[in-house]
Amino acid sequence: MIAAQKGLNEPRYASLPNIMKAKKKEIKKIDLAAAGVESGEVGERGSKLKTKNYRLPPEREAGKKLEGEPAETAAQLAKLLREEAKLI
Amino acid sequence: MEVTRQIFWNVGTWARWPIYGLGLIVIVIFVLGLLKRIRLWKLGKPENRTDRIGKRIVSFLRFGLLHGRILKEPFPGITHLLLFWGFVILLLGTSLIFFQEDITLLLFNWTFLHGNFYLIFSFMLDLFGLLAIIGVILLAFRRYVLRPERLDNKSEDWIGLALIFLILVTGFIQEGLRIAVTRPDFERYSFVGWQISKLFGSSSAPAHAVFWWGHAFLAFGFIGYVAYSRLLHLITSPLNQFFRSFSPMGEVMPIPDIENQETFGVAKLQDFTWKQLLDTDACTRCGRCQDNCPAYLSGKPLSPKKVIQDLKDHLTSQAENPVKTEAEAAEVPPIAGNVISEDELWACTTCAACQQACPVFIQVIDKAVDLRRYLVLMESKFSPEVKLFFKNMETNYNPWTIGFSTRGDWAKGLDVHTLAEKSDAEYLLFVGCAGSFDERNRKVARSLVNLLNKANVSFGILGAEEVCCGETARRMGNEYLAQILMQQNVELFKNYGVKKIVTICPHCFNTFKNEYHQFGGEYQVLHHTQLLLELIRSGRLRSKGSEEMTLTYHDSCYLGRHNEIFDAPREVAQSLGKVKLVEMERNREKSFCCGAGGGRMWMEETIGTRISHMRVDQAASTGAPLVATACPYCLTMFEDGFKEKGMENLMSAYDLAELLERAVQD
Amino acid sequence: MSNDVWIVAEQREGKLKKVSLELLGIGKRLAEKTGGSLGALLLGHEIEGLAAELDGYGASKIFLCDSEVLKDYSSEGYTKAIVDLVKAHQPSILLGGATALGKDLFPRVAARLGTGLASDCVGLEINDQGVLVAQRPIFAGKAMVDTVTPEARPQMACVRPNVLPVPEKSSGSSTIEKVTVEIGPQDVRAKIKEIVRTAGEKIDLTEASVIVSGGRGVASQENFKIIEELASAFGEGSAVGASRSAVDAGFAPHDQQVGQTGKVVNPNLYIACGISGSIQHLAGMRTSKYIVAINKDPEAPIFQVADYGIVDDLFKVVPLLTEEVKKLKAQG
Repeated sequence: MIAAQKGLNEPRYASLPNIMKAKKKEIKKIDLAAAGVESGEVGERGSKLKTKNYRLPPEREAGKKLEGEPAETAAQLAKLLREEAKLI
Repeated sequence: MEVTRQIFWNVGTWARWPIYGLGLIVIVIFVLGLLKRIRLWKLGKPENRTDRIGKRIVSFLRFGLLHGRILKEPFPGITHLLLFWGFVILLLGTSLIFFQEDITLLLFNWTFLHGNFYLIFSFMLDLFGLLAIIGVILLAFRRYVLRPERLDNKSEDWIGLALIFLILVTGFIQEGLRIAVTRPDFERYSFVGWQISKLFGSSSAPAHAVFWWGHAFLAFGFIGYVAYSRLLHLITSPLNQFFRSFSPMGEVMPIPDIENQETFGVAKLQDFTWKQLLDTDACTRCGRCQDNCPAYLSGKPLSPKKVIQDLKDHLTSQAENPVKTEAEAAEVPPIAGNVISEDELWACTTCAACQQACPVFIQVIDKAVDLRRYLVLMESKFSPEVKLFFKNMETNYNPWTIGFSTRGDWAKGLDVHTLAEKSDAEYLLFVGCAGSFDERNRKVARSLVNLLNKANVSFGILGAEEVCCGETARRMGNEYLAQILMQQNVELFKNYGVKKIVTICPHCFNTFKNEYHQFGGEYQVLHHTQLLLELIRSGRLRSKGSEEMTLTYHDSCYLGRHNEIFDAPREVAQSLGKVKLVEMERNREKSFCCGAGGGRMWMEETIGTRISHMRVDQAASTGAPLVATACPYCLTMFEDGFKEKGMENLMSAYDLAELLERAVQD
Repeated sequence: MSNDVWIVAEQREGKLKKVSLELLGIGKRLAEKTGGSLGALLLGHEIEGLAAELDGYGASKIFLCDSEVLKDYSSEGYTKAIVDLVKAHQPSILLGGATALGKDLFPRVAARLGTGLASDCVGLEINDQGVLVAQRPIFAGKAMVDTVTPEARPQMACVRPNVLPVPEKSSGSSTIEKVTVEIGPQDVRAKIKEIVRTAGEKIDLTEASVIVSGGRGVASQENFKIIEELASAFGEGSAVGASRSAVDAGFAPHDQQVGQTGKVVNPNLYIACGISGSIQHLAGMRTSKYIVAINKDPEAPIFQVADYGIVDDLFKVVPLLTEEVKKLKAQG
């Protein structure tokens, strides 16, 4: 078994004749029984992890434009990066 | 003395028999040569070009006989006109002689080449013969002394000119020799021959016979040579003018019934239609296309003339080495990448300057798109940036990696409604990808909305439901993707009962107006400058009109050449204030492409000079600091061009909507 | 079944990864809530020194799994070691780092143990029912989901590095227990042949956590130094980027280009200096967590996406900013 990471290669762009052929190919449907799987083993029922709820992340605030002389704005920015963005 | 001349004088009436014999042989040679070419054209697929016969005849008269486009360039135009009409009149004259000698005289014992009619006849032939000689000399002068860049010289060129010149000269000499012997006073009317006769004495009869036969042989040789050389354009060029396309310049033909095709685009000659193959034979290598092609002029390997000639040579080689079996057919490499290089094909911006300039209506864009279709749909051969464009368009219906759900966000905070909210809107304002996502062009969209609201225009947008119009995908050769987008839009517009569309972008305008009918979409389509002009004219928008400004207007290819909209944007520009509109040298139909069309906006430009830089230079040389545009592609190319050339402080570009908004401000 | 919280520390080639300390921090907090003790697992070969580095962060026990088979990471080898230990001691919660190694290792451990795994978490809590709630971003951060593992044990979660804080070192000490790992070469079927290092010391743009990028406004290749200096001020994990215009003008090499036709990056901080923010550039960096723009032109589109913007001459602001950043970094 091989796990591929992003950047492994450049995927091909399908040629139109191949797209047309693919459209005509039969999609074989297999049910759980044919795959030898119990319904309780898969999907949401089979998952050990249960979802409690979904949330939206906090709204991104509009950007702040800093005013003042370069020395002031540079200091202000560094402070914000440390305290608000926690990046320093 | 009777006012006439004796046909076959001095040569003897028995001469008619060898003349008939030779004539017959030469005609057979000619016809065989013509049939050979016709057979080659018939290798192509069928196409209906026998509709609107009346219009076709007019086209032949206007552009053929009256040299419509040829005269757009005075020197080559007039000299060719002289040669052409000289040739036609002389041909007519010879036909009249044949008509008299071999039909009316023999069958009805009736002649008409005498008396005043003869005098007029002889005078006209001398006059037009002289004009023809002047034409031929000037044409040879242009080709071999002036040597314009766009003309390449092959042996068939000097052979043709030499033949014509010699035929004309020997014709006059033998007339002069005849008059030198017969000396009737009325022959003053054959004024050229009359003057020439003064060079010769009364015992010129033997010399006359020599020149008479010489002239005959040269003329017959000429007729035979026509079918095997560039002189065939005598037939193919008028034929091409007759069979030309009458569909709008901006319309690209679809691949019909795409779901049931097995091959796409043009791989081999047989994939072209017969008319496309005829195009290659109608070309006389005049080079006007090349002289106007932005790709060629900026150093790319593409020349429309070369494309057509390469296809023609390829077609001719099919006659010489015909493919007989399926196996042989499979061996023939595809045209794209072999006969025409990929670099040439991708360099085309589809600006149609070539098609506009061509005096015989050869189409180039259709072939470039057909060959691109082969590369894209059959071989998946295109650059990574093109691939990215396709992937983005498929995933998000826009050329960037931006989620389609944010397409309506540009309108946040503006007084704009979607058609879902406002189902009775009169116009659909189709914003387009640039107006929706590109910050610079969003400003244009906002300005336009402002103006429309001020003028109380009833309109709505599609917001997040809007998807790309599909124009660029089609021109890049991805017809499948284009049809998916177009059909999706047709369905969407149908659901909203869309009847009138106003677009920001000329490319969207062109495709809605000229191509969407292919999928059942018929709408009244306006470009935003057209609607703005209507609003100005009707007083719904009033320009304060006080600011003095000098500007130049750039004709977008898809508004101007493709759709003949030149005046509406100019009128809008004039309404902005005290406007001094300085035209660039290349304006209106001769406008120079900004370089972004045909999908080139999304491709790297690595060969030669940047087309956009050339256009920036052309704008700068007007002295105007402001360029008025009407297209998001053009606007982007100008702004990027100014930046790249370090000219941001000297020149700026604005869309007419932005300029008008400023002029209308309270 | 105990109430213990275990974390799996990560080391590569004898260096402890920072995420191990972040895990100890959250692990301690969770253990206080569950009433169990905090344990740490360390796997490798000849790594006693690293075990000492884990000391003092609140773990009562550090399980040292030392074996030659574990010298290089292998998912089979490490899985076996962890699974054996977990089965023997039955902790209630097992945490790991959502690093490249973690993403390979923990799904396998979870499958072997027959339990679920909450991957790439940015938050962990014990709720009123005493169950671990994992908070994770989904759809590239466009939404958050809270998940629990109601029945299966241990409750497993992988934590995204650089999100949780590194705890203060406390006085309490941990016992180091050497664990004999029942593992032999036959347990590792995929054998490592060679480890190939990427050339160069420059961190890849796509992996950088801070990118300082220069545009046409930087005006020359020499001037790019001030961009590089600002990037260095942020320390490890920072890199220099450039806009298309800057690369075209020859100010920076193509492999530094950020944008639609360059690299698509996703750092925590993107500082755009003298970049107008054309749509092709934005397409390459708009998902950055924080965007700072410094540009003379107040109309530049970059300000539409910036969290913090300074409309000023970058040649004045950037060097001053570099000083400020260095000052704050020195404070620790």
